Order: sequence, then C-alpha cells, then structure tokens
Amino acid sequence: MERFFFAVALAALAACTEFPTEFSRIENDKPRLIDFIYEPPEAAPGDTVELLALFGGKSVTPDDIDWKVSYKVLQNIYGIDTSFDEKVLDCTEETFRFSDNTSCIKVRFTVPRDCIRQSPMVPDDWKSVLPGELMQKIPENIASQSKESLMELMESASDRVKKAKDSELPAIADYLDTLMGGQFSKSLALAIQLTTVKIRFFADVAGSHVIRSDYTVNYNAPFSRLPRSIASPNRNPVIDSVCIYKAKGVSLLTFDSDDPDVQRIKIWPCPDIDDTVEVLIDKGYTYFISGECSGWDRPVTLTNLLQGGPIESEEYTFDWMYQMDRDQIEGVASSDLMGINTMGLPYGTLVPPCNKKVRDVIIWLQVTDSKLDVLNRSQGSCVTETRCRFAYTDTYLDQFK
Amino acid sequence: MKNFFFVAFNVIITAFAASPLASDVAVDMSDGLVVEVEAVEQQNGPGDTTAVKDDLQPLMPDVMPSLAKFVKADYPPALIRDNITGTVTLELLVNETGNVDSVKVVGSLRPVLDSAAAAACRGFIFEPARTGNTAVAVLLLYEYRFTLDETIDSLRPGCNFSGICVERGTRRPVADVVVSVAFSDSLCDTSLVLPFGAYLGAIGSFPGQHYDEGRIVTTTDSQGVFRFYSLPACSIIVSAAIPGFEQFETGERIGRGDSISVKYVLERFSYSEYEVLVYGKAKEKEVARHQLSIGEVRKVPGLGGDAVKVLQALPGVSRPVMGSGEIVVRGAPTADSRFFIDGMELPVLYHFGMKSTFNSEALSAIDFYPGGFGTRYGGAIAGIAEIQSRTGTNERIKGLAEFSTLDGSFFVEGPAHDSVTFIASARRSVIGELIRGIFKLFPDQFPFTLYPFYWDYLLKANASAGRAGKFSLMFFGSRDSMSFIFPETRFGSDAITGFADRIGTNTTFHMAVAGWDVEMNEQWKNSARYQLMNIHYLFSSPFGMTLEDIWVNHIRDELTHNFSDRLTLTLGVDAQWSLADVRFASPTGTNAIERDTIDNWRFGDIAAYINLIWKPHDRVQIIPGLRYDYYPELIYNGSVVPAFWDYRSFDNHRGFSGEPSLRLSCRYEFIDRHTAKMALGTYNQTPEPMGMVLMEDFGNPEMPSTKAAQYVIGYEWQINDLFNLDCQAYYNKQWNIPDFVTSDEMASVIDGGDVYKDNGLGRMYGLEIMLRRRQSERFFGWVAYTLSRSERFIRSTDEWAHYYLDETHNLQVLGSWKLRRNWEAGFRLHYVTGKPKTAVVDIVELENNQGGSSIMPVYGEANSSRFDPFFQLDVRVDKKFVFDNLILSVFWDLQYISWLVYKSPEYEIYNYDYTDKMVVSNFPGIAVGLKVEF
Repeated sequence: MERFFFAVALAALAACTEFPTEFSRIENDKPRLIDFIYEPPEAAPGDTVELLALFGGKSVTPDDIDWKVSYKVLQNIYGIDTSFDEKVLDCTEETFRFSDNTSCIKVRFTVPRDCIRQSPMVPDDWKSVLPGELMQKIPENIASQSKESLMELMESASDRVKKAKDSELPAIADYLDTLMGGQFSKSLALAIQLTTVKIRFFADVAGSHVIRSDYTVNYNAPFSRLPRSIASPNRNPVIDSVCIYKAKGVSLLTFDSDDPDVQRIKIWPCPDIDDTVEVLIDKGYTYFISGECSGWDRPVTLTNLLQGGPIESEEYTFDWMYQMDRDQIEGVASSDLMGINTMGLPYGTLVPPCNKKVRDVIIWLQVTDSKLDVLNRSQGSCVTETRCRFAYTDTYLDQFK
Repeated sequence: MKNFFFVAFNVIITAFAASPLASDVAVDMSDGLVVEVEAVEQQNGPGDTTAVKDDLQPLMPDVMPSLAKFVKADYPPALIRDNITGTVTLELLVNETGNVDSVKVVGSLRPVLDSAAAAACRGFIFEPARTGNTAVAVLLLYEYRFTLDETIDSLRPGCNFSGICVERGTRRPVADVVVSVAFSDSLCDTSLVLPFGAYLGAIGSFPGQHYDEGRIVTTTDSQGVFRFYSLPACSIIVSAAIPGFEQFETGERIGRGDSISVKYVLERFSYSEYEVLVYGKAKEKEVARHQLSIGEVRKVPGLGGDAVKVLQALPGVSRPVMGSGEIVVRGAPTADSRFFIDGMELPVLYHFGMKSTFNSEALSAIDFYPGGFGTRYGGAIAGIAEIQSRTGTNERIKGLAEFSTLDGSFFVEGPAHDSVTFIASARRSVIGELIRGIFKLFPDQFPFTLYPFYWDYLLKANASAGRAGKFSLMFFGSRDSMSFIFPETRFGSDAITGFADRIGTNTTFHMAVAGWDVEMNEQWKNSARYQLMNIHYLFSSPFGMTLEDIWVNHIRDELTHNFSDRLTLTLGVDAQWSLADVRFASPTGTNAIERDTIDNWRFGDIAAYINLIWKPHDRVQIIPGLRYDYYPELIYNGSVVPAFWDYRSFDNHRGFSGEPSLRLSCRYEFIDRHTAKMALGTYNQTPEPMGMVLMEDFGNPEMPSTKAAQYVIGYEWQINDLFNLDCQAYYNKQWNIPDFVTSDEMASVIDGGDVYKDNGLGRMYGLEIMLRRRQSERFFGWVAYTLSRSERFIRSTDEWAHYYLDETHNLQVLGSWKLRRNWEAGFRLHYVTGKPKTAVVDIVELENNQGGSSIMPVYGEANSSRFDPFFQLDVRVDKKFVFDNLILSVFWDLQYISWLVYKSPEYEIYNYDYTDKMVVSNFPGIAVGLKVEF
C-alpha cells in the first residue's frame, strides 16, 4: 500500500512540476484525441454503431488511422484488463465536419451477433463475475440457468423484441415474466448486466500512437422497448452552455454563480456563430470556466436489483482541453500561457495568460457519464468546441513586468 | 666502687658486664606496655641513644628489674599542641626493695618535662634485680618519652561531614568518587588536643578515610554516599574527582559540634548514551548477526535519532525508496523479512518510514540477521530484525520528554515496587499539522493536503519473583494514518467510503505480551512469551476500499538445557495463528462497485524447532537446527525432506501444508581474533502478498509456500578491542515465488486458469564488508560496503533479469565524535548504484478510462537500465545543556546536504505524453529535536 501512496504522492508532485507541455493544452503540431463519441454509447449484437473520432491539434484524416478490434476482452475487479485476437475492424470511414478546429472521422461498424456469447467476460460460471455476497442474491430462476440457456434466452428474446411491433411487446413481456417467475423487470435487468461485455478498438494514428477505446455491448436497447422493463440504454450527455465567470478576489477556490458581483460571460453557444467573445482579464479577479449539461440517465444498479433502494442519476465528469494560436505563443514562456485547473467538476479555475501576445484560445469541453454499481456500464460522452479572445487591463499586465 | 647494673628501659638497655651478651629480657610495665629489652655490646657510635658509663665494667644480674608500678609524668596540653615531644634520659638507682632511691637527669628535653619525668620516676616501683636468689640494687638508665600516641589513641571517630554525589542532569548516584577535604587554616580549631597535622594524621587512620598530603580523603559507595569522621571545626575545601566527570571543588564550614550533610552534583565531560556501552566484543552465536547497542546508533546522522532506522545503514540492507521505510534485505522485498519485538510479531516497523513504531528509549538492543538465521525464526526467506525491549530502571522514577519536527513524546521509567519496575511512553506526530500549515501557505503550489498522522504507546512492567523467575507484561500499540485530501474536488465515487475527495490509509494495532523467564537450576531454563494482538487496517478511496481486522495469537516457548559448557540444547515452539475478517469494495475494472467479504479467514505459522549449540573445542562452535513450519492457510502437500532446491528426482511433496527446515551454522577461530564462519539452511514462508495470492476469487488457493536456500560464508577479524572487520558472502536462491501470469498466459485465465503461478524464481548473491570501530571515549563509526545482485527469472524471455530492488554497490561511511562541552558531531555518507528502471518505449491512449482519456506508457524490457548513482551526505550535531536536575538536549540532523552539489535521482516523472521527463530527487531536510531528561 505504501507503493500506492508513492504513486499518489508522485502524481501530486507531478501536478506541481512545470513541464512546458500539459495534458489539457493541445499542441498545434500533434494530433490529439478529443473524444470518441459512440452513437449509441452502447448497442446490442447486430446493431450498427457510429463512432465520431475527434482530434485537435494537427488534423487527422481517415487515411491516418488503422482500425483494429478485439471481441475478446477480459476485465475484472482484481485488475485484470486484457484483450486477445485483435483483428482489422470491418467498418466504413469518412471525414465528417464536427466544428471549425476539430478533425472528425466518422466510423460505422456493426456489432457481431455472437459478440456476447464469444466474450470471455461471460464465463461458463457466469455468476462468478459477481462477488460472493451478491451472487447469493441472484433470483433462483436466473441463477439456475446455465450460460448456454441464458444466452439462448437473451438472444432469442432480444431478436423477438427487435422484430416485434409495439403492439406485440406486451405479450413478449408477459411471456418473459412467466419464464422469470413473475420477476421479469428485475430479472431481465440483472440478466442484461450479467451479459454485458466489452469490445475494444485500437486506432493506430500514424506517426503518433495507438488509441484504445472500449465499447459496451448488451441487450439494454432492445429490452428497453418492453413494457414494465426497467432496463434503460445509456445515452450520450448533452452540453447546454459554456461560460466564464469573473469573481472578485485572488486565488479563489470556488464562486457563487448567483452572486450579482460575479460576472458571467457565455462563450458557447454564441449569439452569432462567427462572433468570438472577448474576456477582459483584470487584476484582482479569479476566473472560472463552467459547463452546463442535461440528459442525465437513471440506470438501474446491482444494488437496486439485488437489495433495493432508489434509482439515482448517473454522474458527469467534465474535462477541458484548449489550444492557443501558434503565432501568439511563439516565444512565450510556458509558465505564461493559460491553464485550466479542474478535477472533473463542472467548473474549474481558468488561469489567464500573463502575456498580452496570447489572445485567442480554442476550448473543448468533453463530458462523460458514469454510474458505479452497474456491471460493465458503457460510457457516454459529448464534446463541444468553443473559443474566446482575451483582452488585458494594464494593471493586470503590470503585475508581470 | 660497687658493681652496678645499668639497664635502659623503653628502648635499649646496655649492661656493662664481662659476659659477652645479655639475653633478651621482657619487662612487664605496670601500664601494660610491653618493652623490648635488648642486651647489646658497648656502643659509642653516633646515634647511640643510651648513656654509657665508660669506666665501669658492670656485672649483669641474673634477673633484670621489672617495673611494677608506672607513674605517668605530667605532659602539659600546651606542649602537646605545640608538638613538643622527645625523650628525657634519667639515671635511676633502684634499690633491693625495688624503690627508686635517686633520680638524675642525664639527658634533658625541656626543664618542665625533665622535672615532670623525674618526679614521675621517683614514684616507680620495680621488682628488684636478682643475682641468684639475692635482690640487688642496680643503676638504670631510663628514657622517659613524651609522645602524642596516647592522645591519639584517645580519639574516637564521629561523623561530622557526610554527603552524596549525583550526576548532574540525571541525578544518578555516582560511585567511586574520590572526595578529599583540604584545610586552609590550621589554627582554626582551638579545641584540638593534638597538633593540627598530627590530628589529621590521627583521623586519617579512621576506617573509610585516609590522610594524604594535608588532606583527608574518602570515596563514595555504590549509592554515591561519602562520610568524613572527626574533621576539625573549620573551613574546608572539598574536592570530588572521578574519571569522566568535571573536577568538582567547593568550600564548606564545619562548626564545632556540628554535623553537616551535603549533596554534590557532578557534571560529566560528555552526556551520552554511549557511556553504557560494554567495551569489547560480545560473544557471537550466529554467523550473520549484527547486534547494535542502542546508544551507539541513536546518533547516526540522517536517521532522525531513531535507533531502529539504523538498520538502513548496515551492510546487506538496500537504500529504501524515498521515504518508503521499506527494509530491503539482501535484495528481497520487505514482505520476505519479518520483524519481532521480544520474539513476538511486530506488524509495523516504521511510522511511514519516518520513525520506528517502538520508542527507541525503550530498546535495549536490535538483533538484525540479513540471512542465515537460526531456527528460532521462521516464516521468512530473507532477513529478520528483532527488537529487544528493556527493563525499567530500579534507581528512581525518571523520564524524558522529546519534541521534534516529526512528533512529541514522553518516556517514564522507574520502580513501582520493591521487585517491580515499569516503562511507559507515548508519542504523537506533529508532522501532519506542519505539512498542512505549509501547504495552506501555498495553495497554488499545493492544491491538496497531505496529512500523515501517527501515535504509539507502550506500557511495560517487569517483576522479579526470585526462584519463580521473572515476569513481564507489555502493552504496545500504534496507529498510522495517511490522507491525501483534494479539497473542493470530487473524483471517483463517494459510494464507497462517503468521501470523493480523499485517499487514506489507516493501520492500527494493539498488542499485549506476557513473558515468563525462569531458571529451574543451572542446567534448565525456560522462556515463554504470549502475544495477543489486534490489527486493524483500512484503505479507503473513491477508487476502492479494503478493511482488514485481524486477531493474532502468538506463543513462543524456549526450553534450554545446558548439558555442559560445551553443549546446550534448545527446544522451542513458535506458534502464531490469526483470524481475519476482510472487506473490500472496488469500482475498478468492471465499472461496478464490487464488494466481497471474507470472514474468519485463518492463517498463521505453527512451528516447532530444536537446535544444539555444540562447542567441541574452545575455538569451534557448531549449531545444527531443525524447524517445521505449518501454514494452515495453504492447501498443498508440503515437503518431507528440507528442500535446498526443487527436488524433481523424487516426490518430496506429501503430508501437511508445511515445510521442514534444516539449518546449520559454524564458527571456527582458527587464529586468535580470526574467525571463519559459515551457515546454510532452508527457509520458507507463506506466499506473498498473501491476501492477493491465496484469494479464492482471484488468486490461487493451492499455491505452495515460497522456499529459499541460503548459503553464507564469512570471516571475522577482531583487530583489537575497538576495531573489527566482518566479511560475508551469501547466496539466496528462492523458488515457488508467486508470479503473475505473463501476457501470453493470460488467455488461460479465461478458461479458469490461475492468475498467479507458483513458478517464480529468484536469486540474490553478494559480498558484504563491514569495518566497525566501536564506541570509545570520543569516536565511533563504520564503513559498510555491499556488492550484490538481485535477480528474477523472466519466463517470457527465459532469462534472468535485474530485480527492481537490485543494487550493485552500496557504500556507507559514518562516524560520530564526542567533542568538548557536550557537543557531538557526526556524518553519514552514502553511495549507491542507481536503481534499475524500465524505459518507456511507447504510449497507449485510453480513450474512455472512467472519465476522459488518459495516456498510459508502454514499457520496454523490465529493469534494463538504471538511474544515475545515489549519493547522500548527512550531518548531525548534538548539544547537551546540563542542569542540576535535568538535561536538555538539542539535535540538528541536516539530512541530504549533498543535494547542494549533487541531486540524487529518485524518480522520473514524465509529461502527459511521455515525450519529456524530469528527474526528481529528494529534498534536503533539517530535523530538529529537543529532549528534556529529568
């Protein structure tokens, strides 16, 4: 455990170090991953999925990336995270316009129909993926199933649901309810979680590096159509706005957005798409950047299924990246550049540049969702690109002379 | 002319007679004085004290006259005090009746004394001299001596000056102090019946004191007490002297008839624990044991005054990673070594590597075995460190309080009863508050708070019950907690611990140890210990939580029989069994909080051992031993024959889940002060990390014990009483080490294969040299050098590779000097080959790694390169301020001042995409401490 602490201490130490580059600062001459946005963020076997691969910095085209996929991924609680049998991804690729400064490649692929059945994440002793404590609580009508019978049930039922008209769904639900001993809602949701698997994509960006991305495959989407079903597919979050807040005081850790003395500068969406919002940087203020989102899902958790309790919303994590103008930062010390300090919260501290040369900045906000206690849950995400222009008061600049 | 007989009493009698010589005659004086009477020939030479009638030819009577009644002459006191002594020679005519007819002064002293002597002689009555049966008159020469003897004899000792000498600061009685009294005025006491000098001479003969050149001298007893008898009433100058202490001198006034009592406080030249060291070399038993006296090691620079941390300055012990507090013995991880307190399990040796959990003040010694240890210890395949606690003093209740930049503590010891002593101490850290304060001052630089916190306590009582033996009872506990707090930040999930802004760990243990040592007779003795301990461990973070609650029972009993001086047999039981409840939760991997519980998990080490200490010759010692360790938590067939390697030629595996161990150590002093030594043995332990490896859900419950065979050869040269040289070469082969599956083997895990394999191999070998100068009056120090290699077999490449703990060269030079005025200064110089490191050869960006993306390194060949060498210089300065009733000590431990000229690398930190890196070194530090002993 001491080693763990050293790792944390080291990370803390790293946070205090002054490298000329940093993770959230996108360099102009390197392709940088912004996000892979999967639509939908989780799919059932046989479904077709669109992946938007977003890059900042140096632009990327479909020719720059080789796609591979592994349908044999193994992850567990004890730290095993591995994959086998990588193969070339059967997909279509095209350039897609996402925003002014974001390279985007749209990839379309279909999830193999036997994806879940072949995945090592559903072992023969399929209940063993749960800790013993929870394993005991699986309803008997589910627990008594072999892997084969469970897979057959899920595959055939999902096929029927997919093909069924809305009017046929209640009958299917009743049928499943009979099969599951009258506990259709919970048992089906549990069976979906226990048969959720991951597939793994590898994007080899020429001249740069490999990007690894996991995608979740399960039966949430088809079964969510059934009446009385509590299964709900994950959806990507939605970003509503991005604002900069100017609060009186130096080195503040937080702010009150309702405080009339706190100035709110909305930088996305802009009233006019071609406008660039100017942010005046003054001495004696602390600047915050904040995003607002909507679209929280309310996934059912293992605890909900096995022990009860209220169903709660998922959580969002906010990550910021930014890119400054190549010419404006030429010759400027890295310590004089801007920074955004955030730890996944909806807001973070925006540290303005210290050099009046630096004016224009492109900012990306990525929001990802998560919900613990949902087995192998997918991660939905969304991205928005915005920009602003800094202006400086003399008193502010005088501090750095 | 009549024939006269001349007789001289008191000294010499000369007879003028024709006969050649008179026989010796004893004259019994009336006052009982026995006088030798000697007949001599006529003498006229110088120095002859007898008057002689030169014209007479005296006749010698047959029977000499004898004094029947003595009359004492008047000796005026004034003349006594004036030291007027001498002899008056008188001529006595003793008639036939024995009366003195006439007296004539023939040798004068002083008129007053001549008259007094003559008057006294007239009153003498003799038994008359006889010739045949006839009484005859004789003429005697009689010397009347005026001496002080009688006055002196009349003096009787009476104590009128007494006192106690104690050590300044400690108030410890000082024995064997030479206390002398000098007198500046010889006329001050007019009541003296003797001349001053004579009086001093006279009282100097009293028991317990003596006279020496105008002084009366005595020495203090074991309780520091001195007494003077019948000193004259006057002003005196008292001096007290003993080696190692400042000369003490003071004036006193003794009044007539008074008796005064004083307390003198003597100041040592140097206040150091070193003074308690036993010089010379302790009798060694083990081949590879370093026994350290506490006083010698507490002043080692760079260790913050902590005695246990000195292990890190010994050969065979690797430099710990910055601040880790790991004890890496001969290239093996910390888990391969065990730590004991009085033979009982010590779960946590250090408070985060900063200070030992056991208060150094309560230690008597540390035994450190880097390898080749005997059968007393098991469950370890690398080294052993055993801390020996001490017994409280029975002098008086005393203690100390200590404050440093790390913590504050107190320590008290003393007698609780006639046969019971105690020790009590407690300590609490302050470093956490210090760090928090500093971090708050610089919120921009430190957007998080680091909060280390620890405490420990100790209460020990020792009782002696005569033949029933000695009993002890110790309560000892400790807590270590560390938190990283990121205020205003949420990461991970608060569903696990309720906090999403902090990562913390907390290890707490409480133990009770009861001991009984008894010597049944000269041959048999027994030592028993029982330990009951609770260990509570918690790791909590938004990423996972582990909670362990462990109860440990440990019994050790050693029965020893001395057959003779050359043969001793020891039978021992070393049984430790534990019961653990484990809870953990983690959202990692499957993106779900997985919880698991293990209740009543039983594990331990139940062992019995036997060893024989056999000395076939004065210079030879052989210790064979056998031990069997049973591990209840393991499910496998243990060995039947002690395994020096994995015997593949026959099936050695059956029976219980335990292992026999055979160990042998020998010493041979082939020339005076030159000793050759060797040890070999088999060792085993439960696979580590036990919880992970044996867990049913994840590990391999059928994992066998990890085994090792160790071989040590060595040479010792006791150069003189202060210097000794110790060289050892060792080889430690280990197998059945739990080994995580390789990436190629990972596919088997999908089919239900184990994640841990039992085919890990390790080997460590090296050479250790230690030249040590034991503590003398001014200096101690040592040079320790280790040349070593630690390797692991890499199955994927089928090659041996450096283990991450490998260090080729490790050199430590340290020394400490005692200076004047209670200053001490020391240094420690440390050079180590750079630690192995694994290069980053590529990166992988994880797109959706529970949040945004993150970039992970792809490593090349493990440990294929090294950091630059490590070099560190520490300096320590101590100063003691000694007051009558307390000692104030201050130390400044200037750690890592070599940073000013060379920054030793500790870690490499990469930028976000591993295209740039920065080497991090430790920072120089100043540990300041203040100690008050009372």
